[in-house]
Amino acid sequence: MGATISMTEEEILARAAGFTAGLKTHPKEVAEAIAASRRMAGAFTRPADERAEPMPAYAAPIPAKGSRA
Amino acid sequence: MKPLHELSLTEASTGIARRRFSPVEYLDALHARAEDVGGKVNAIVRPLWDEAREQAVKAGRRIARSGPRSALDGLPVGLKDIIDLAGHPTTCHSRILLDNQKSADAAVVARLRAAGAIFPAKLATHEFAIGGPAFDLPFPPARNPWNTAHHPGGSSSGSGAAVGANILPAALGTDTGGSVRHPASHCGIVGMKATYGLVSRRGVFPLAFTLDHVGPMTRTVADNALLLGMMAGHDPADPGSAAHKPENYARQMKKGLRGLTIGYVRHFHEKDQPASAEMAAALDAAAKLLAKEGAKIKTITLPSLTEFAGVNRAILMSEAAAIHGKWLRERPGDYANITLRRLLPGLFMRAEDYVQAQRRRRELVAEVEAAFAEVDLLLTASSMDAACKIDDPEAVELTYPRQARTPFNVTGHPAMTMMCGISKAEGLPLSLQLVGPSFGEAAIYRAAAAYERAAPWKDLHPAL
Repeated sequence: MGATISMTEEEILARAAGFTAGLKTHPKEVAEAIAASRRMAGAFTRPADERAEPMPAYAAPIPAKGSRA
Repeated sequence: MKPLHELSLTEASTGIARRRFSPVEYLDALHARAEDVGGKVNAIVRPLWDEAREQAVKAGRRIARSGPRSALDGLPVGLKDIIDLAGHPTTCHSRILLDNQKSADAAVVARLRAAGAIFPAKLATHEFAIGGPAFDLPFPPARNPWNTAHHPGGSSSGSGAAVGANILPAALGTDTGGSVRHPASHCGIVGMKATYGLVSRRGVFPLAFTLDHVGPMTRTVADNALLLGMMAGHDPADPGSAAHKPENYARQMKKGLRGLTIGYVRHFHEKDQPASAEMAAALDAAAKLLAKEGAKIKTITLPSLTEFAGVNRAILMSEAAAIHGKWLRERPGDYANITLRRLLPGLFMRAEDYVQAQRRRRELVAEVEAAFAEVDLLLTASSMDAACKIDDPEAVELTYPRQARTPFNVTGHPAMTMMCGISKAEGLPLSLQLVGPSFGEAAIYRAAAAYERAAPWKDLHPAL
């Protein structure tokens, strides 16, 4: 078995966000940002319909002038 | 006659066309005004008066030879410093982009330049159009011309301050969560966020692709309609640009209000984010005046401000993180601390939350669209309070959620802010917001012009 590495939640999330170095220089801001992102994610109602389409809808490109299509 | 620096864009245009004064004389008067009061409001980050004077000389010769190229010929327009101007850096008010030299005009600048406009200044902004008034950046924050101890609103803070202080008759701002309308509210001017896609964003540093708008900021409704008419137009090189023909937005401005039904969205400022007593009273008085002038006023209910704000934040943060991710990771210390704190949550948003916000957005759009089946326009609050002190971080922080502007970045509907009173305690502007159906800018200008004619605010200027 390999050695286990003990990390705080903030360290795990900062690593996942690619912000490991920033955590060392801005620990207070990272803690605030994690809390803020959770608040933001929970600040609106999820659509009840599982099939609800997000905006903006994807649209296939219109063939450009001179296209061989 | 008014001093030249107090003339509106339309008055200056008429004065130049009738040879009462030249574009150079007008520009020189504005330059003198900037020398006189510019240091009090810090609106300008890059003065370009000499270059603009050369353009004004050419415009004067051109007008003398063959008449004005357009109603904007020889007239100055300030640019928020996230909008590209050929030959100058676009700093975004940030040390990260101090050397960000641009060789081409933004599409909207190119349109104005073709109409004969000249560009005497790049203007202050909250860093990258998202920070806040910051004292740890290469340029000082802009200040409110009505009281320089107060916040001018943002992020188009320099545009609001320059126009409010009579340094420039018009400026361009950008609006992702209310950033044209917030400074318009606090500086007592007119700010329009037109329908999403009506004005090209090409050559404007993005904050959030699906929420960003470029908008005109002026002292009068007529000026705003004039400027938007010159700015609007389809741009195939902007993926968000709407294939909608530009209009004469001033065409309905003399029609008055009879026949219009205006939905008054009271719950925004009475329940969702209770406004100050003065702001609430000013909005009620505005609704009464609109009714007296012939509009039918009807109470309308929309989803709560919390829902709109939640969706706006989730989208804005996620899209901004995609733009700023590299700099946030490699040089976080180069942002102002307030900007870093605003942007950093975006790195921790989940992809699912972004998509959920975009799904909820479609529902919110449908609910606002349903309202426009009942009414022609909406009347709402813009800010819930008059401008706070600029050096009070807690009050500044509160100013961003205490507003009703973000709903219409989420939905893309056109929305305009204008003055509707003065706070007795502090002598600062109070404001209202008019919202229209998509591409319904002409109806907004019609109602706004009627209100402007009937209300006593249009001739008030800050005593700097």
